[in-house]
Amino acid sequence: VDGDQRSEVRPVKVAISVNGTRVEAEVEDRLLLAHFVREVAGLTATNIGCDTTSCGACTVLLDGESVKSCTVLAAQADGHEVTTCEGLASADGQWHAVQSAFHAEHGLQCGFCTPGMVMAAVSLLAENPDPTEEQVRAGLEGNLCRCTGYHNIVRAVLAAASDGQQHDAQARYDQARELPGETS
Amino acid sequence: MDDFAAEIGMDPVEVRRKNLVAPDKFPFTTLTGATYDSGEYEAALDRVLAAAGYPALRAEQARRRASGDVVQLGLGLAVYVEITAGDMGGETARVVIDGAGAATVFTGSSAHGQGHHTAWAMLVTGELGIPMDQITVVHGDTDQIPEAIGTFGSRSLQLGGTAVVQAAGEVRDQARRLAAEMIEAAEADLELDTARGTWQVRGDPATALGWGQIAQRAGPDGLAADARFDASAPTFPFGAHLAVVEVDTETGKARLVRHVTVDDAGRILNPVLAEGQRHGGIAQGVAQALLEEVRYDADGNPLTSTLVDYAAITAPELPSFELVASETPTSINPLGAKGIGEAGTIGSTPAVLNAVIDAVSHLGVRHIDMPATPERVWTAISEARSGR
Repeated sequence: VDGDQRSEVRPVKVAISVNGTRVEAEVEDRLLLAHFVREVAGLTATNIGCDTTSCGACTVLLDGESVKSCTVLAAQADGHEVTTCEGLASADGQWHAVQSAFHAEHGLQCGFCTPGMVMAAVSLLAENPDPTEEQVRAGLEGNLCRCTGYHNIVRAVLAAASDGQQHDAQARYDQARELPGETS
Repeated sequence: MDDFAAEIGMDPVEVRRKNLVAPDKFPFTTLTGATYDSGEYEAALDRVLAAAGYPALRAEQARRRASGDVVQLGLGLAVYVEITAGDMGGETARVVIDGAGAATVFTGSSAHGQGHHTAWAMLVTGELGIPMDQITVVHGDTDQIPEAIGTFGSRSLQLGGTAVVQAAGEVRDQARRLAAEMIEAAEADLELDTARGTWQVRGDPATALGWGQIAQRAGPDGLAADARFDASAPTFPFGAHLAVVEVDTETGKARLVRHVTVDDAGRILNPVLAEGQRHGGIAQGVAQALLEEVRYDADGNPLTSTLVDYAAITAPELPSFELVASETPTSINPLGAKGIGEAGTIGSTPAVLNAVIDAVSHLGVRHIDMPATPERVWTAISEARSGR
């Protein structure tokens, strides 16, 4: 082995579907998904709060499951689907049920944790559409909020759950993929 | 105070009750020179106790003590009075109405999540009848707002909000003079219909003029007024917090299971925003009592410099909070408002720590340093049991 490996840039080609749009780029192998989303895809709803996988502000969905994008390499997301907060609303601009509930329940103050909190809540409700308060709190453990004491965030997630599936973008997406005549 | 109560064998509630300033004593000047503007301290305490079901909680505590339950129950009280807008620096506002009848509010009190945009728009709507969606709030730009103080010390609504109301009031006076010229009526005969946002001769909608028409009459820059509000004195919010904590006596782990509060900040402009301030404050205060600590090694190097090392409180470590409404207005400003920003932290930290100690006081524990981590609580129990 020769040369200083620490300074060696190793470009990798990635193609990541971000909110349904294919984003191709040659990036450093060490580039984090959080930076890819913000700087390469240009979507800045995803915040970076701590760089230590503690705060959850950078939470996005990777193939529908929530991940902290500061702890995933862009190279690991190559060929996969990423959804950020910008990708939640439907094509006609209608908010996702979780977004509407955060608005209705005053589930945010400064707003810095909000995109990550919303994505964590979307993932939580996808896994458990009818959670108890305790389950909501446990499900949001990886997302820190310093303004709300979590009180109205928890209320918003519970409200979104009881709001049913009619505003749920994921449900519409799933419905659209069902074949005619197929029973569910 | 709880030590004193334990020493003389009195319930902590009664010790506090005997020492609270009665409502007929306000304004009340303390021996150290602060003048408390208004307060209903005992009512705050009683509301919290009623909402919490205090006797039933004490009964449950007694049951667990008698049965030697591993998980003991603790009740912690804090009654507090705090000072807000104590800096006495005043605050500024400018209200401008353009030719389309829309309002822009320039405020020296910058928002970072407290909800000033909503609150200031509510104030202007209330004064002028211009709809909320026609009101823009501008802050944080020294080109546009040369003189300002800021958002801190629970001061925004009572100082900045009052300045907004005063600027809007000056705009309304200007509009009345202009509308009188335009309608050719006496100023005293005009009325502002705040439901419709129009000026008219009293009882005669046919004469109605909109804000846009009047602002056009004022000239190309529209209607504008500046205001600066300097309060004559600080205000003194107050309240009472009751924390209910479960302590696992085998592990020392303390868990907050209920938190009931009165945080009286005078007249409330927007209950949703005010409750939001209380929620956040309570959480931070609980965190200080149970978890959070900035630590250093022997050489002074910080040991808690990232969120990995510093125990910021998370959702599963908190219950939903039980907030009880209470509004005792102040006469220090025309809104009757005191500050709400820090109330939650002031009440919750001592209430939660008192609750942790109360949960294990029957074992002989009288003191635990904050934060009451499992290690500290376990050590306190062990030392008390071994008679150290």
